[in-house]
Amino acid sequence: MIRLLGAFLTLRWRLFVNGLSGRRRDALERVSRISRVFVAASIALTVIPASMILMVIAFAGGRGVAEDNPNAAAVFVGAQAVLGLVTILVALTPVLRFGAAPTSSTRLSLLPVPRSLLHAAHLVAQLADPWVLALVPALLALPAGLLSGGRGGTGGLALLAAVAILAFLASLGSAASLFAGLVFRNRRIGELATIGVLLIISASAFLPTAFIRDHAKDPKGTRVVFEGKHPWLDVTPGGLYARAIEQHTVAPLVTLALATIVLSGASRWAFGRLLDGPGDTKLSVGRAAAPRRFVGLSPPAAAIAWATFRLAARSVRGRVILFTSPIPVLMLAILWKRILIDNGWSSLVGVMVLGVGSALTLFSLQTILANQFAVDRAGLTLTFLGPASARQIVFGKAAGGALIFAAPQAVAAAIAILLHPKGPMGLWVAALVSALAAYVAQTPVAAFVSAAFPAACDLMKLRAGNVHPLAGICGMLTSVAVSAAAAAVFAGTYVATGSVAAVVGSSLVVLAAACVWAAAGLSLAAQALDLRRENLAMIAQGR
Amino acid sequence: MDHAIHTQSLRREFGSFAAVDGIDLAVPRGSLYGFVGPNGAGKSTTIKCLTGLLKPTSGAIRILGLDPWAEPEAVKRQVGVVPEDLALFEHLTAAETLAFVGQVHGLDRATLTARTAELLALMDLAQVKGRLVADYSHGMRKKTSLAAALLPAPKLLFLDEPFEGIDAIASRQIKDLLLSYVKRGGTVFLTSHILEIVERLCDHLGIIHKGKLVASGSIDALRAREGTQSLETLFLRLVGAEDGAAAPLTWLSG
Repeated sequence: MIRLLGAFLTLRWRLFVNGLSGRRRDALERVSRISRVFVAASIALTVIPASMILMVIAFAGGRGVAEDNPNAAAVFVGAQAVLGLVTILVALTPVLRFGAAPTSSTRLSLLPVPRSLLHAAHLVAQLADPWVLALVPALLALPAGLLSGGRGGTGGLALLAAVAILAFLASLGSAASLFAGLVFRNRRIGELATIGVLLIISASAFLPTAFIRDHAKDPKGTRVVFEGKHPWLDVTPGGLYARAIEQHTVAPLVTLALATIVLSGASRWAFGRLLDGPGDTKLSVGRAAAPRRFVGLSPPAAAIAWATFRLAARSVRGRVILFTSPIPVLMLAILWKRILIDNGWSSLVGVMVLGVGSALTLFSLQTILANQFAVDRAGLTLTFLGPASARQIVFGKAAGGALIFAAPQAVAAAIAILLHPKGPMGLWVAALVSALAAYVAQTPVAAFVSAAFPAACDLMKLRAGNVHPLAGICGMLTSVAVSAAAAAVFAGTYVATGSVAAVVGSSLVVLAAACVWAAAGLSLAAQALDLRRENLAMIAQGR
Repeated sequence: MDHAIHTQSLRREFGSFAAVDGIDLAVPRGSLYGFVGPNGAGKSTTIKCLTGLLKPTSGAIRILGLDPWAEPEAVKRQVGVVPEDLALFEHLTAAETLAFVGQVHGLDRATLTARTAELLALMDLAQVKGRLVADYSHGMRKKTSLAAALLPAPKLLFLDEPFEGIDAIASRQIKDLLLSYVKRGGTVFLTSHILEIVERLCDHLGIIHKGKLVASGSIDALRAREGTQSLETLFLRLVGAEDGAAAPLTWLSG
C-alpha cells in the first residue's frame, strides 16, 4: 500500500514539475514558462498563508471555547462555513475536471495490484487535494487549542471529528470523481452534465435574492434584510462536525461516518465499473457539410471563421461560455427590475443591461479569443498546410470570433428587451453598435497575444482549456478598456447632448474608428503570426 | 532532370542538435519516392521543412520549382500533405473537414460536393460522416487526413507513415490509389517503417540516418550498387545495424 501510494505520489509530482518546466524554444516561451511558474507560486503563496491563518484561528478558538469565552463559539460558525465551501469544491471539482483524469483507468487495470488496494489508494489520494490539504492544520489546531485550555475530552472528540470529516471528504471526492468518470465516458452525456452543473453554479448567484425577504422601498433607499441561519445547515458535513464538538456528542459523527461508508461503497462500485469497460464516446452531429460564405471575406478566411465558430459551438468549454455568459445578464436584469428606484433613468435600464451584458460576454470569450490559434490544436496544422495567408487566417479568426460573440449577445439583447422594454429604439441600436465596436477594437490585441503567448489546450475538456496567463491578463484588460471606452462615448454623448441621434452617430463613429484600428492592427498581428507559425503549430499540438 | 522536390544542403537544428544535417534530395516528377530511416533519423523533420511547417536553419528547397518559403501559398495550392499528427480539427466531421480544405483551396461548390462524396465513399467514411473526428478511430482519422490531402487534386503528395494503423483492405485501396495517381503524373513522397511496403510500392528511395542522407536514387540502382536484392539488408547495411543484434536478455524467460 505504501509502495503504491509512493508510486502515485511520484507520478503526480513528476507530472507537476514537468508541466512547469515545459519547453523553452525561444525567448517568448521562456517568458511564458516563467509566468506559469509565477502563477503556481502565487497560488502557493495564497493558499499556504490562508491555511496558516485558519490554523491560528482554530487554535485560538479552541482555547477560547475551553476557557468559556462567549465570543469563541464563533469558531464553530467559521468552521461550518469553511467546511461547507470545501465540501462543495470537493464535490464539484471532478465535474469541472471534465475528462482530465490524472491516470487512465486502462493503465490502472493493467497494474498487478488488487482492485481493493487500487481503490484504497484512490480514496487516500483525495486527501492530496489542495482544498483538503489546506484544512488539515486547522482541523488539528482546534483539538490542540481545546487541549491547551484544559478540555482534554472535548479535544479528543474534536480530533475524532477531524478524522471523520477528512474521511468523509476523501470518500466524497473519490465518489464524485469516479461517478464523473462514469458519466463522462459518454461524451454527450458528459457535456450535458458539465453544462448543467455550470448553469446551476451560475444560477446559484441568485441565492442571495432568495434570502431577501423585504425589499420594500423607503425614502432612504432600498432596505435589504437577510433571513437568519437555516436549520438544514446543521445536517451539512460542516454542521455535523461543528455540532459534535460544540455539543460534546458523538451522534453527529456517527451520521458523518454512515455517510462516509455509503459514499465509499458507491465509489467502490463506480471504480469497478470504470475498470470493467471503456464505455461509449460516440457523438453524431448529423448535419450536411457545405462551404459557407461570409460577407466581405475571401473563401479561405470564411472557412476559418466558420471552423472557429463550430469549435465554440461544439466544444464543452465553448458551449459553457455560450450558455453561461447570458446568465449574469439575466440576474442583473431581474435584480435591477426588483430594486432600482424610478428616478427618471428607468427608461435606460434595458440599454444599460445590454451594455453590461456585452462587456461580460467579451470578457468571458477571452478563453477562446486570447488563445485563438492554439485552440484549434492539430487543426491549426491543417490551416497552415493550406494556401491561406497569415492575413486571411487572422481576419478569418476575427470574423469567427464575431460569430461567437453574436450568439450570447443576441440572448443578452433579448433578455434586456423582454425585461426592460423601455427606451428609445435609437439607443438600443447605438448600444448594439457600441458592443460591436468594442469587439472589433479588441481583435488585434487578441490575435497578437494569441500568437505571442499560445497555450496548449483542449476545449473539449473543461479544465484543459485555459488560456495562457499573460494572454488572459492582456485579453481581460483589453476587453475592459474597449468596453469602458465605448460606454464612455455612449454615455458622454447622451449626457452632453440628450439627443438619441447624436448617440447613434457617435457610436457609428466609434465603430468606424474601431474598424480602421482593427484593420491596421490585424495586419500587424498577421506578421506576428507568420513569425510564430512554427512554435504555434507545436504548442497547439501540446509539444 | 525535372524534380518535384529538390533540396541543397538542407539543415534544421533544434538548439545544438541537427535533426536534418545538410541533405541533398532530388525527387523526380512522377515518382513514388520512399523516404526511410530508423526512429528519430529526421524523416518527419524533413517533411515538415519541405511542407513549410518548419523553417530550415540553412539550405535551399524547391518544391515543383518554387521556393516554399518565398511563395508559400503558390506551393501549398499544388501540394497535399498527410502529416505525422494527421492535422485534423477534432470538432469537425470528415465531410466538414473536406469542406474546410476545399474552401481554403478555393474549390467551387459543385466540384467540392462531387469530390467529397467520392472520397468519403472510397475511404469508407460515408457512413460516419455525421460523426466528429474526435470520435474516430486512428485508421478513420488517417483516411480523413488522406482524403483532405487528395481533395484539391495536388501535383505532389507528402505522406508521413500513411499505412500505420490502417487495416489491410484500406491499405490495399490506398496503395492502388497511389499507384494510379503516379501513373497519371502525380508525385508521392512517403515515409514508412514498413520496408516491404516501400519495396513493393516505391520506385525511388532515400535513406536518412542521424539526419544525413546515406543513400538516394532508384531502388534498382541502389540494389545494384549494394549488391543485394533485399531492401531490408540494404537498409540495415546503410544505417550500420546489420550486425547489431540486441544483446540477449538473459533474465527474460518464459
